[in-house]
Amino acid sequence: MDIAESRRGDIVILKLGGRLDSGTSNEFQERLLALIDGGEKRLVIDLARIDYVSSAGLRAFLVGAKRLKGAGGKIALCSLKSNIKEVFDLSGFSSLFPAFPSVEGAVSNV
Amino acid sequence: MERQTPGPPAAVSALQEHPLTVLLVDDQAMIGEAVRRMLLGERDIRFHYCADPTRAIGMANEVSPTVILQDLVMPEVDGLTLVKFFRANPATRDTPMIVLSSKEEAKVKAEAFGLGANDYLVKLPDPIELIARIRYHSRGYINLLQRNEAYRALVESQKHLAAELAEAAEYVRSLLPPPLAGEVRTDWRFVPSTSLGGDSFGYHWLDPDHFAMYLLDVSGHGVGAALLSISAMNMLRSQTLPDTSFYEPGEVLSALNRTFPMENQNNMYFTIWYGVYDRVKRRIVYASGGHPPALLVTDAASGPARVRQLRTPGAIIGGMPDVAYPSAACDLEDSHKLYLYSDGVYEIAGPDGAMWTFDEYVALVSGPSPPGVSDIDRVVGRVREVRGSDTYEDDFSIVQIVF
Repeated sequence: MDIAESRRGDIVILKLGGRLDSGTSNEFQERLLALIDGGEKRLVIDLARIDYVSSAGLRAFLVGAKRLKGAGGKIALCSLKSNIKEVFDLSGFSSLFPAFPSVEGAVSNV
Repeated sequence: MERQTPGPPAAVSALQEHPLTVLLVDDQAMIGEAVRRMLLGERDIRFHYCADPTRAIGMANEVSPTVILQDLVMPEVDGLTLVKFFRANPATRDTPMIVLSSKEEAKVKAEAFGLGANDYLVKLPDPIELIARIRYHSRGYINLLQRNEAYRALVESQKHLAAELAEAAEYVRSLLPPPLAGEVRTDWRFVPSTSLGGDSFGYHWLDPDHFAMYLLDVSGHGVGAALLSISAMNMLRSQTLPDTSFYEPGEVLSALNRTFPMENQNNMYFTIWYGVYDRVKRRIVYASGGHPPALLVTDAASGPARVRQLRTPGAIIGGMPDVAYPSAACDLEDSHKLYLYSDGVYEIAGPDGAMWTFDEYVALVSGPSPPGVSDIDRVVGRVREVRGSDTYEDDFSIVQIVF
């Protein structure tokens, strides 16, 4: 997988690409936790280029969200393909992570 | 029953030490003495001298040299032939060999290298150069020995781990309920993955009219995931969650969510589908904690079977405190088959790497079975076909309940 980082004001946008599975979720999780531990409080994860999320990938989101909640921050997802949205819906993660059709929508909601 | 479990191999934790050991093979005692003196100040180098080339292989097998110095011109045995013998001898097959000759001869050198020598020195070399070469070749060889040892230890420890996982999988299997025959019939398959996932499931009558059924899937793999799965399943089996009505799926899931926060479970969480069948009202109440929907297949008298996906929006168990787990209900009319399963059943990639879609899986489950083949065998057989393999990355559990 690949991770591209950009900023809009104090919002960090992580754009992920490829597969988020047991082989790659650690890299994503470490990146996420490093940002949170570095004091970032507003995060947007752009999943437009993610083709697959396994349960290990979901766990990385959850670990990040919990750390962020403890720090008083907010996270939002955007641009989920239909199969990725299905994974979030089936696992009940949709009730934990607000998801928006576009980066703009997510940015204005974190 | 007392059982002996072999401990992990000791070599996993510590690499074996190999002292720098030189074996010099030369018929001239004077050379033996000269080299011995050159190495006298090198406390960490052990030196062995063999004046009789016919005994050289035997001595090498005894002292395990990390480098062999060998004269090329000796009586009774041709030096190049001895190089060949050293290479054919298993214990010295990879031991670095420095051949010693009285003169620089490109042709002899090439021949020696061709037979497996690693280096070539003209007698008598400068002590500084000799020691440097001895250290250089020994270091490389010791690294090779240690790498081989580490590899063997790794293979051993993987075997050990695989045996433990197989034992844990057998334990999980022993806790699964036998298939039922009667008013409510059940059939199931449990196929643990090579690394053992955290699937488990169960069903039982709460009273003569209410039948509880559930399947859960712990995130992650290994014995830890299996243990969490078993703990949760045992609470459902023995109905020991505090202040919980086991007739109310939403209550059961909320209680599990309070009991198993992921922080207390080594960051593992699980998904579960829990339902209760009321045989008098012909109705199923159910709730899902992040689990894929159970599939209720109704055989129609004609045309394709009807499939209902019994899903609720509850989140994974142990992920977040104080989230709500709504229940839902579904009325049964005629003959129905309910399928509980873990995502290991449909989260599979075919040989071309393309993932199966959930809809493809639903279509498979609701499809007709040929005469003489059980529905479960048909589904499992097709999943195997799609994967093109009998090993699974994730546990694979599917339960069929016929009402």
